[in-house]
Amino acid sequence: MNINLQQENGLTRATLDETRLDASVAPDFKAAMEDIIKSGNDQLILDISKLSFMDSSSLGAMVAVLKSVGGTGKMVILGASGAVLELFKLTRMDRIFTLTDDMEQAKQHF
Amino acid sequence: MCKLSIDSSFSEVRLASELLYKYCETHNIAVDLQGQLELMLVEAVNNVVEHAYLEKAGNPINIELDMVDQHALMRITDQGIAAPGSVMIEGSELPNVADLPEGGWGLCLIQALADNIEYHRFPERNVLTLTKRTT
Repeated sequence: MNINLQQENGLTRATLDETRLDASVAPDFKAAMEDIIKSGNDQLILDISKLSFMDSSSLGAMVAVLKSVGGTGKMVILGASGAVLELFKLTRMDRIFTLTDDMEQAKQHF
Repeated sequence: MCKLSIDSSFSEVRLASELLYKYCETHNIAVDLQGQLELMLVEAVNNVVEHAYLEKAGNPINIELDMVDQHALMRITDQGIAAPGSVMIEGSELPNVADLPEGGWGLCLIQALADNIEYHRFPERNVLTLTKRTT
């Protein structure tokens, strides 16, 4: 699972360097993100703009990651588009996640 | 018609997507619709791996993709446990978002995206047929 980290002013940008997230890799994604959060990165922008496909098991992993962020942390999802954005909307999980397609807007959520 | 047989493993589901990409290219299916078809197919095959075969590898899943009267047709056949037929056709309610669910969306997504769903249980065989209009 390729996730690149950049830190700036207390915010961590985790860029998912994958084009597909499915049931075969969702557990690895969840474990990698939980490690990142446990390392103190709980003010998090998760950039998924490279993703062209994601299934519902991966959405479940993303919910688990959101729970890991906890009450004092925050996670914003950056760059969901096409079929990935449609998945959030069809499941109504766009009401739970903070979604944006603009980095500056993402920063303003913190 | 495009056909593929994969093993009952989540790591093989990617092959079903690759078959779909070829199918969409052959039939000039737009990217937005391709995304919806891929989600239908992947969720359906994931369900077979998870529920029909209880995540045990070494069992066949046969996938057929066809175009019939401007409808994309997906037929998924397995030899696993029978699904509750009414649930397959009628789907189920979306999990409550306030509960922060981590699953339970598969059938709801298939039901939301497919124009028609048919499920038949034959002796020792499940056949799920999904169709979606392409124009």
